[in-house]
Amino acid sequence: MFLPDYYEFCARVKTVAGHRALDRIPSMLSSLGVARPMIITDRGVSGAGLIKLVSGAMKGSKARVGAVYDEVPPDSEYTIVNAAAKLYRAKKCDSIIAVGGGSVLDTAKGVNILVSLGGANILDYEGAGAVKRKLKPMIAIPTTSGTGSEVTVVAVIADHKKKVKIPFTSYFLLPDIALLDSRMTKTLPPFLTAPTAMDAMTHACEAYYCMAKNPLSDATALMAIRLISANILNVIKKPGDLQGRLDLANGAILAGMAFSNSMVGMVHNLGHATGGACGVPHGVCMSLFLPYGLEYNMHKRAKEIGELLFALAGPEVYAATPVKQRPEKTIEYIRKLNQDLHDATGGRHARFLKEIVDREGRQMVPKEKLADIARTAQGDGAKVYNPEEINYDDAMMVLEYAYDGKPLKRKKIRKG
Amino acid sequence: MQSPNYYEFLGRPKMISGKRALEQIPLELEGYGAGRPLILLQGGAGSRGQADTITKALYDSSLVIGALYDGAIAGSTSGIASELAGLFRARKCDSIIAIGGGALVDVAKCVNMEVAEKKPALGLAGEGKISRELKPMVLVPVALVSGNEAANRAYIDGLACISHFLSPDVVVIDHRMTSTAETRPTLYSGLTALAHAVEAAISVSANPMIDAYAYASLRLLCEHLPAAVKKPSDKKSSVAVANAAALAAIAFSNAPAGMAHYLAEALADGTGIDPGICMGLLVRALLKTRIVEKKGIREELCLALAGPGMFSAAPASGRAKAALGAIDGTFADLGGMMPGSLREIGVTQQRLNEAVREAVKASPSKLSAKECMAVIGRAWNGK
Amino acid sequence: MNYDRYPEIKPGRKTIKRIYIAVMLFVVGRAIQAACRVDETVKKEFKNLKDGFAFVLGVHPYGPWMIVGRDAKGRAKYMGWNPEGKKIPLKMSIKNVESAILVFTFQESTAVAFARNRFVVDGDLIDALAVVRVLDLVEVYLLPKLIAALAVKRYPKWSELSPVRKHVGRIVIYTRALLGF
Repeated sequence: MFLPDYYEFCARVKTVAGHRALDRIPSMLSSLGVARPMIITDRGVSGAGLIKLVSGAMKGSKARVGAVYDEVPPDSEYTIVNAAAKLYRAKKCDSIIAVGGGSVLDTAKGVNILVSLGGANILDYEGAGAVKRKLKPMIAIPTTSGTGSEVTVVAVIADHKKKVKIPFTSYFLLPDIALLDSRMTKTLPPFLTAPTAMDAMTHACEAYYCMAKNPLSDATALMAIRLISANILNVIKKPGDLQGRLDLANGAILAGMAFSNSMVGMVHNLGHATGGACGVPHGVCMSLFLPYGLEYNMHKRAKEIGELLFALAGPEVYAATPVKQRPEKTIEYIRKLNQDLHDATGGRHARFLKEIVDREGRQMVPKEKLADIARTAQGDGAKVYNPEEINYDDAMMVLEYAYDGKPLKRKKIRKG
Repeated sequence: MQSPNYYEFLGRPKMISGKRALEQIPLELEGYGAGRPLILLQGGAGSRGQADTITKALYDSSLVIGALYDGAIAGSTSGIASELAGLFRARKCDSIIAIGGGALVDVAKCVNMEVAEKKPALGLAGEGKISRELKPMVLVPVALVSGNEAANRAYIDGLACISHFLSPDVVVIDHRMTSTAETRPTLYSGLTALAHAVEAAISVSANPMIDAYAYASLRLLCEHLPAAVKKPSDKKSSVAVANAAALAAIAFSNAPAGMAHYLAEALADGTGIDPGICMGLLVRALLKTRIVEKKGIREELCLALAGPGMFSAAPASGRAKAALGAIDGTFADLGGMMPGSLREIGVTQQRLNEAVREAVKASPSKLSAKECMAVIGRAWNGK
Repeated sequence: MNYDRYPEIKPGRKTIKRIYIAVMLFVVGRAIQAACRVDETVKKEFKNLKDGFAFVLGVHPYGPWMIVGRDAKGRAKYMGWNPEGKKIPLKMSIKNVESAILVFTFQESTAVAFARNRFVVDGDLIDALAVVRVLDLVEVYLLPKLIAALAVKRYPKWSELSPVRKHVGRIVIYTRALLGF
């Protein structure tokens, strides 16, 4: 077990997970001592009847919902945070229940900063370390098994005008309670289950080779990969498989714990930038860049990448593969998984940049945008935690390979 | 690997471990709005050096040490707790830094209960009696001998107080403190941690989070405990064992204490035998019994003990044996420090029945007396 | 219990270490100003920053600090050690003196220090990353390769940083940093 010269790890979130975990909401609210929670969510979630499930579970509670804000868009931005905070104050709420995917949870964290510390604009709290004290009680109920935002210290909030994603980082952004209920992810369609689960998978893999790795981030990452790898294809083929759904949810939260404490590298660096410059959903970028992140850092992290094979492919494959071949086999396995997901979703799971299309079927990342992405990536924090340096030319090189899905030419990677 | 139908888990302490970790304390406390800690450390031969180290580590910060108590603490009694609570109040302290292990940390937690709940700590004995966040508490381990230090419990006058508010807020592991531990406390810490981690991962409450904490803890123990015991002043291995002990305690906080824990406590009660040694022998016997009786051991626990390499090399049916082999290997590496059986450390055969009775009585979850007898018998006989 | 036996303690200061850090900060600050006039990359980084940009780098909570700003022409300007009364949009503080020593004795590179959470950044992260890139380059100029290779993730290859550029640059930067023009 790798023990670094120095590490920090904090995942102070009470996890409540199960097939009927929502039933525990009344006692959770009373343990937090709150009476008027505000529900933050998006239209998709409330349209799927999931808010009804939550408010139904609250019937036995003394607490009453103070307000519902359900206008969080898929790629939320700071203006939304500011608007929701205004509603919170107007309705005199005292806590937050966030129900949704990454965008909703991150928005809710932003709202919590504003309503706890004061102010009207979330952008005033930019920077790692601007949030320095306990915020209002918050319960996070994820409806995708992906971002792990329910247990991370980060909230990524976009500024669409500037085309950037701004990370807010503080231990106080950790929600008090993360509530995972298999019913909440059951209705997620396969073409969304695939990228979100791969998002979690990427968190765990990156956590395992990035610079702040430590015993706990390694342990949580390995457990996460085992859970996700064993279930991802089954759940996509059988969306109603509640046990598989719960396993994925547990995998995602473990992956969140891992990467929130070991930070992430190139995959997120390029992923954030692609999201910022072209509006591609986060999870889609993650699965697509993951093999490249592994290839790019191979010369510095061969051992770690080789160890991932155990969690991904299981003990039999691991034992049958000679140590030297394990790193390459890991990359091969991830590429194969992306291909399998592509097939299982009828081609909707994108394997490379060229393949990403929006709802109208338009290509989202035209080749001339690559330079834009590479430039944006230089301003993204994840590059700091990547083992190998990534400057503009490096990013450009990787993007060109990822554009049509060719494996990296290892000779082209500049080794520091 | 499959998630349970339902579980709850809270890993409350923030872990900070390694180079210059002590120097992080002021900013951590600042995050809680605190800046006047009461520092407790065990009086005695090493206390001068420890006091200097911690004071220097707090230089150049806006923090003021309300008081640094370095008197002797023999046990956790309401007497010493209320005296120190008085010191805390007299100096207008707002937080606690406990440096050490065992009774000292129990006392620190009891002081915290008294000052935060404004009533004697003894009145808060039991489970879930604490109603609010206590004052911020930083634990700086030397050797975590009782296994409760980083966990959600404290003892006062022999009674347990259990609440997640009793888990330290921050655990700061720094070799300048861990390497001052002596051989025996290091061994006891390691064996207690081993037993707690194994029993959490084998319990009915086992879940993926417990598995992860147990994995980290057990891997560190298997790889570093023998070296730390042979040379407690070794920086790297003493830090590794302190990490393992804290992580095991967090897993232990989220699961009911198991058979080895209760049997060891019963054996140690009033006999002067160390519970850590007993726990180590008992938990090995527990796993062995499971294998002999073909009850099997959870795959995740086998993985944690054997490590991915040994786990994968064994056939699926042989993984439990590989796990047991890993414990045996670690015990063998401990050499002469590790006794082979309870008999060797002076436990009489007559004590066994008594201990089983006491353990069954003490445990809130119904332990099977038959299984206890089988396990303790095996531990008494040795291999 | 006699409470007087356990008096209040006001922790002191580590004066020598603070002086060392102050000197390093002074040299680095002036070197950034000099590098901006010599090195094209550094020049470009500052050009891209906003008008009125400045950052303060130092040790929490009592300093020492150093401030570098961007002048109207888009060049770096060393602005002294005292942040009081100045409008500084970006604050990068190292959590304590000992962590700062690890950074300024190059036992920990900036990336490692970030990964170990030793920095607190207050302000725009995009700007902070530009500052980190500039610091890395300045270290390459100021330090012998043996040490600088520890301080940055990838030591620039000769193709990237030609010997002439490096050695002439180094001499000019040192001279300017010390003489302050």
